[in-house]
Amino acid sequence: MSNQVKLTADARSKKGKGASGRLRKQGRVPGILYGYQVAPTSVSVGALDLYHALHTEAGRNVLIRLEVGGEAYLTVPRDIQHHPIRGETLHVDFLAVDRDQQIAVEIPVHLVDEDDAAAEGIVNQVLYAVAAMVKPMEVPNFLELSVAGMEIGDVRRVEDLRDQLPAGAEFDVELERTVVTINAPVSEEAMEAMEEAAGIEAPEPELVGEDEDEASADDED
Amino acid sequence: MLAPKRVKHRKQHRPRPLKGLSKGHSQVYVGDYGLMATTPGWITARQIESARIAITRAVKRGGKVRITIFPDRSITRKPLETRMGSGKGSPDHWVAAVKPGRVMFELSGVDEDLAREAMRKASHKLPVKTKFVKREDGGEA
Repeated sequence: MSNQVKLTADARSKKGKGASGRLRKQGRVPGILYGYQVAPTSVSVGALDLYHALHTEAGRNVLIRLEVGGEAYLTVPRDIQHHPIRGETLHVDFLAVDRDQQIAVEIPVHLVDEDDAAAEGIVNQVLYAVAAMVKPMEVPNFLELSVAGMEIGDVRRVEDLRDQLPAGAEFDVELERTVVTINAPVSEEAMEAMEEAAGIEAPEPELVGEDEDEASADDED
Repeated sequence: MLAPKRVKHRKQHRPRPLKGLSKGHSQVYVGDYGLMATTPGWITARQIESARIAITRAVKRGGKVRITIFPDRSITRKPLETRMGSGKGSPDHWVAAVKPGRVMFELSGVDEDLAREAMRKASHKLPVKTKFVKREDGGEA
């Protein structure tokens, strides 16, 4: 991930939801720049430019060269806030980084050779992204994990991805953590039992503290 | 059907009309595809179960279905032909209060066309408008 995306930002002085709402109506996204050798600065960027910057092959780990008031900073996006339904970006943080210092990133895991996995089994991906400490210029776009030859019950773990990390980088997650498993499909009998159980009313829930009340009442007697 | 195992009080105040948008779980976190509510509503335990069965049948035992809402609000009813008064009715069923933007079901291990069809069938069992959503690559897992 050595490609950088250029983005021009304007510093903004007015803060708060009113000013931010007005900015969004003008097609801009409010954000903040902070991190390496920069004081926290409120900025705004064009919504369309930001969309294109965040939708490259590098995904959320894209390196953005952010230009603010004649100065340029090497940044990565952090804490991207979306509208829950419309999905549009509401706010974004730009973390200024030192190109020689490792940063915490989440690298997506892509499964390959899914057709070569156990024919009867169901591929169950448990971990979709792994946390790692990597230098900003060396963050891979994604890690690939082959599931070829896996049988029902087999497990692939984070340690199987280690050879794809650049030299000096480390995972920030336990190496024993499961990434993918192959599950057995639900049997016909289990399916029928599940459907029968669906019609059964759940029992009346017990009341919290009921036992203690009874116990204290007994003590008083 | 889903219901709490232990509760602090048997009866609760009736949930107020739902205002605003969902505060959490508005992305697909643990699957590949999801079904998001776009209008507010109370979803009963029966409706959740019915939607789950619709998804499981559609994916023909494949895939993994996850329910990401839980019916934890009790709704009371008075018996039929009863005069008003004499206190609150008895607990009748459980509902999950769902606000717009909430991902209610997640599905993984199937291709997108099948997931769309399964979610379409599930949406017919629910009292809210819905939309099909996909996981964003590199999102929180």
